[in-house]
Amino acid sequence: MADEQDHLKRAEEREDLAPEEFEIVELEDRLELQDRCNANCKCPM
Amino acid sequence: MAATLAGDDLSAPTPESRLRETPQEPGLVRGADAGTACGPLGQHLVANPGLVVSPLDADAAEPMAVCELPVPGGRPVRYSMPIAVVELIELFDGRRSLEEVIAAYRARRPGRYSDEQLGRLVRGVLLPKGLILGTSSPPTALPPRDRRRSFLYFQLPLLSARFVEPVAQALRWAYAPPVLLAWLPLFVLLHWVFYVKLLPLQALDVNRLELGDVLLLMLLSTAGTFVHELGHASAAAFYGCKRLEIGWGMYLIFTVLYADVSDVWKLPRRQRAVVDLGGIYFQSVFLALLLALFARSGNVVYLFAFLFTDLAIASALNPFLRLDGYWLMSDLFGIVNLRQQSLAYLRRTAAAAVGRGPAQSPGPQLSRRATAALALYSVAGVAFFLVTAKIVLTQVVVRILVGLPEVLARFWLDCEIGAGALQIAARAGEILWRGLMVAGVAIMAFNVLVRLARAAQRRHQRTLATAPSRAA
Repeated sequence: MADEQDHLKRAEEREDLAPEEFEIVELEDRLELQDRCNANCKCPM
Repeated sequence: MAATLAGDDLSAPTPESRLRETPQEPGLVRGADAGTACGPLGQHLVANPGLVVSPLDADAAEPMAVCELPVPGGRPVRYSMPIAVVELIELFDGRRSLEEVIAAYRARRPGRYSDEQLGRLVRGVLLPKGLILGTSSPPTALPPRDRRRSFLYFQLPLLSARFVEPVAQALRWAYAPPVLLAWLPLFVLLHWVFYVKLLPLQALDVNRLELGDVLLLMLLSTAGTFVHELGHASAAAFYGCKRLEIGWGMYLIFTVLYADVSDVWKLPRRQRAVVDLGGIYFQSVFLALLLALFARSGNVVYLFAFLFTDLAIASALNPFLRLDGYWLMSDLFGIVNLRQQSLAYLRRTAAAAVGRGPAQSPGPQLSRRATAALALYSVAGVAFFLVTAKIVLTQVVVRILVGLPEVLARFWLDCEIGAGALQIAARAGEILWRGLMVAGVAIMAFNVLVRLARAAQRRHQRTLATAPSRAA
């Protein structure tokens, strides 16, 4: 059992167990941004 | 639009619900080794009772779902996955063993996955991610999330969902189709009045603005950005989304305001696109307010504010930064995690160019149309980032660093001579935004170096791992 765990852990580190194989992807947080540079850079300061 | 996990038919819209059986508190994992690749072998497994499943409207070869998991004390984590995987998860009822579940799944979907793949899927993915849990061991905290793909260096919530949601709910009427249709000609008229009638008559010269004007301009610009974010939140509320939050953060070299509308992943693409455009919609209404204020006061600061707000609206459509245009592109073509997919596409193309095998795509298999869009986006994105990097380095960083001693000296002089508080605050603000931009560039450069180092390390580990087998 310990050997199997060790093997799987190392396999995961090598990305052999990448969830992408099963098309499982963590979705990005949807943060709708607007940059504040417009408020700063375009000012004549 | 969410569907039950146990309801089987995820393509049909059904009310949002959770798993019926709740053998333990959501967000907790039973089994001390549940967070490892092996999982709690030998015990019965159950689908996480906190899991909420909705159909995912994305470009994919097979039906996809969004699986949302609560994270204690944090934002929920969402995974996109084929319905075929959801069907496997729902078989874990806490009564069947892993072997029985695999047998049942193979009977239900013969040929979809091999026994070996199913074993790896369960132990290597579903258990570590907390999508299924062990039932017999004492509960432990959910395993930590994957390295977050947050693209903000800092995040500071300013308005919590408790404040944003009632306001957004109250403004939902703005998304009623008749209101939207009525606004379109007004939007055109507004711009015609400004660019054709007003602008030629006004010699707008920023050098003629007094300090008070500049501060008013910054205030108006900030208010416009808040209105923009409220537009996204209101659109999301219109479609029934929750957990809407507005905050401040740092993205690349910019300070930004953001609206967290992650709940919209469960919406159809067209509705997500409306949420993407909601900020621009509300900000264009803000333009009307600015024009009305100018008509009433004759103060040209409002015209400057109109112009800068319009520039902000135009720049928000840039698809290469994570602004509105990015999400719009992602939703119109149905490509989830567009940046990640774009980078993977470039890696695959580069690998193919040097004769190496194609790498795994980090997402569903795309249609020809979406693949073509992704290819075009990726190539154009590289060109955009190269040009932008050159401009940022030569025009922004160098200029800021060269000009910084003078800015500091002016600030020091104003303090010494006892200049007014406004003047000193303006000088301090000037130092702050310059400092933030330089810090942003430094953080970005650091992140790039860290990623390159990690990639090199992974490559080295792979080489070491394959060396013995080659030797054998």
